[in-house]
Amino acid sequence: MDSGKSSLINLLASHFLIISSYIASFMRHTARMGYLIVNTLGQLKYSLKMKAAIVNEMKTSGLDSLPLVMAASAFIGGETVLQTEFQFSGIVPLRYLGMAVCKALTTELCPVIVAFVVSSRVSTSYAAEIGTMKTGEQIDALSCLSLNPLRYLAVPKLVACVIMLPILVVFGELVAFLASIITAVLAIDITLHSYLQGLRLFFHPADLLVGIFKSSVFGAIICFTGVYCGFNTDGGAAGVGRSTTTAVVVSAILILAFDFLIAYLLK
Amino acid sequence: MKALKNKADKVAEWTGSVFRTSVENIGSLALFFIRLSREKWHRGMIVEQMYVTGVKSLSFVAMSSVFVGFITIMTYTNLTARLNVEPFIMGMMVSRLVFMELGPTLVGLILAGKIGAKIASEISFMRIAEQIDALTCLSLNPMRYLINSRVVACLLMGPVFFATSSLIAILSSQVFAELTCGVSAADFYSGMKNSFQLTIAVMGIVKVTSFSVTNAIVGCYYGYYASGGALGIGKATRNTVVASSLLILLENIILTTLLL
Repeated sequence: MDSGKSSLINLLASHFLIISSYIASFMRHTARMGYLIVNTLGQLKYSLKMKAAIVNEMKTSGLDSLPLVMAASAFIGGETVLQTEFQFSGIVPLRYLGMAVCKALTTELCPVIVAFVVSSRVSTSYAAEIGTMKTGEQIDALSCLSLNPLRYLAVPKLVACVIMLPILVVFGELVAFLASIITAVLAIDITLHSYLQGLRLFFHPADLLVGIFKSSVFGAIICFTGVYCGFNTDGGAAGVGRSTTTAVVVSAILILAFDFLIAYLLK
Repeated sequence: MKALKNKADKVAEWTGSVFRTSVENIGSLALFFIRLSREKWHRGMIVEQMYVTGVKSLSFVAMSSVFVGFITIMTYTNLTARLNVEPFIMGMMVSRLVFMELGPTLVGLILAGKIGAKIASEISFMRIAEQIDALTCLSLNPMRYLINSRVVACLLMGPVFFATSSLIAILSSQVFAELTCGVSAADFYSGMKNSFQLTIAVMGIVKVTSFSVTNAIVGCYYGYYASGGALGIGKATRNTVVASSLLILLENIILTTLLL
């Protein structure tokens, strides 16, 4: 029974150590991410001199994601109409269908889904690019030449993402509304006039503006996660693969968390 | 005039090449799927992959389902702020949103990152380090040991993902509704129970399973045909997440139309 007691204590201690190591690594990552954010924001004043780099980043991360965003938004628009019609079946009259679809798309669905889709493309490419640079020791070379790597790598990406993501969300909402109109007219027993009336019913510009504000916060999240995972790459080519995976997953969860936070704070 | 003609030529070329490469990719993916569905399975590798890709993703699914629950309640309160609805309608609509619409879509997109990118980076690393050719040289079938095991593991873990995400999302949405809207737990759950239809559960399970299988297949496809060193791994991962996100949203519409 002596060995039984000590093995129970060993079991509890090993579980406690696992949990506490998760908590410790979470706090360490939060601290390092905070360090990265504060240092990047401190270098923002040099962004006015790097206009060419910023415009280049805007093209590669924003403009080249536009077809993807429009395709994803078209699917989301059609899907929302079908689902809302099923939920309203028999309980709520169909003249409120447009109102429900408009509110769902502008406040929650379009910013979040567009941010997911853009983060899958943008934060992986940032993490892969900076991870490859770290593996080739180019970031250490930059610091040896007394150039701040955050100033030349992170600041253009941050400004580009924060500016381009609201623009992408606006285009996405346009395509989503068009797709919802087409789906409503073709697949549901509702007239175009009553659907468009429903879209205008109880519409507030505040909903739209909150969605746009949310999406620039999502842009900052996408940029910071990609850059953070890129800077913390280790282990060669396999490490680059691991850091791209981590970048996508962490940015997805942070997007969901900040979506809830902003909606709750601005209610 | 000549500059305008050049620009128009470039736009036409770009459109044509986009269509051609997407049709090529879709065809190549379909051929890959047919090829892998003809191979045999290896039971031990399937169970191992169920742990590595399935069980280890459950914590992320759980974390994101908490936020899915919160988002569902915020969407619902936005929708019905100006309509006078009874409290039991909240249970009905929230449960339908979580089981059929927001739950599978958001969980599928998160799994695109967790499962798809992970499988793509593993298999593309094996391809670039020539380990897949080494397996073929040893007359072992890489399709059977590497790819089929991952795809079947994600197929079998699909209902598990659905169950975990739905449970945690419903619980968190009920707690959040009680805290912010003052809807009691009894009203919420009775509304949910009285309006439950089998269509809802079937659609949720089919959606989550097909999303996770799509993630696995697209990840295996881009990893298997990766090339180009360390940059090739990054390119394969990025293409995987982008393609599987689009395919998930497309499948969402197709499954909704088929099953509703």
